[in-house]
Amino acid sequence: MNLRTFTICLSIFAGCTSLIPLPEKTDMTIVNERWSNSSIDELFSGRNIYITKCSGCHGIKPPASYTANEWDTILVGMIPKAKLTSAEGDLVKKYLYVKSHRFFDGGPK
Amino acid sequence: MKTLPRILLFSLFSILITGTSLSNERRFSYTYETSVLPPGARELELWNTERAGRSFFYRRLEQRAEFEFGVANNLMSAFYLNTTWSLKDSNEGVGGGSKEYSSSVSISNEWKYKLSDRVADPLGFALYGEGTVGLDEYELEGKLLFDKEVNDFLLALNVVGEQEWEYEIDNGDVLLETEFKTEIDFGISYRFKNNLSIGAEAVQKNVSVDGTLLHSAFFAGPVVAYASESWWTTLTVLPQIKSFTNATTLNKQLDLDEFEKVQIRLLFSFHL
Repeated sequence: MNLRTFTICLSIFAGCTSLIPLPEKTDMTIVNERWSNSSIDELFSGRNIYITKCSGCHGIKPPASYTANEWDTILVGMIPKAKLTSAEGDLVKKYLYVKSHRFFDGGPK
Repeated sequence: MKTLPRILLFSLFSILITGTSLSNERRFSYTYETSVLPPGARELELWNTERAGRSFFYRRLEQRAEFEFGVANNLMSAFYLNTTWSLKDSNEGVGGGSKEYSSSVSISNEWKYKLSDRVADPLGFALYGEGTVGLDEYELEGKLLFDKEVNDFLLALNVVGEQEWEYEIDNGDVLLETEFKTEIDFGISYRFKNNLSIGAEAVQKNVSVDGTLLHSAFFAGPVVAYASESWWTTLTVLPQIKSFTNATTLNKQLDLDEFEKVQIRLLFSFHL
């Protein structure tokens, strides 16, 4: 069991953290480094779309399952297959980017 | 087994016309999961269930063609065309009769609404309703669906209630028979890296007539599933393990009057 799997298991059994974490104000530092003028509402929308539309075909993965670069690659194929609009895909991309980034790089600098 | 080629033909035919998008994969054949197709997505699911072995000669093949579609966020619906072929001893009570062949057809409509997600929330939960209309029977079925995905493990539990009305014709008299069925389905599955899943399913079936429990039996067996980006398939072998009522004299452990010794279900599905 690697560190990523162990951390995910720990968060489940702690029972206090969703595997699909809610956006926080501190996420804005990260997201605005890549997409300026983003809002926290966009991150909430991205999370909601991810849960609602991406879980129709398979169980969704926690953002911490992949690095931000890996998510970029995955989403190139998944956005059209999940029938997301370009705008919806961008919202999902922002949400997964920031949460993955926080997990692997320890949060905002 | 003459019906096996028919099952394989019915299912594998679809591979030839498979598309190239994602499908709403299942990892169990009997136990439903809470996932719901997104709006605009469509899918064709082909079911084959072979049921064999009663206290008399009995074989039954059930096939369902299901067209699923996402209606709105967290809401989906589906239409089914159901066909059943059965072959049994005409003197089913004691055996020694001749070969009796029968078939039936019906249509069903299902609705599923997801209330919580199996990954994002502590527990996945969905409501499921299905109605069936046939030439000689009507059915209404409701299910409570629960599931939880933890890494590569998936656990699912269904609580099912079904009311059935069936017309019988006896010496020119039309009789309406009613049955109430309850069922608990449970499944556990582990997914390997190559999208192959292996697990087990357990089903507890109960049949009541006029408020009296007449039949109750427990089934359990292995399930294997595979999902690609464009199609998925599941196969479950479900032998009857034990009867809690009405065990037949041929085998005191099993109820072979109402249920079969074994059921095998093969599902194949692809996106449209």
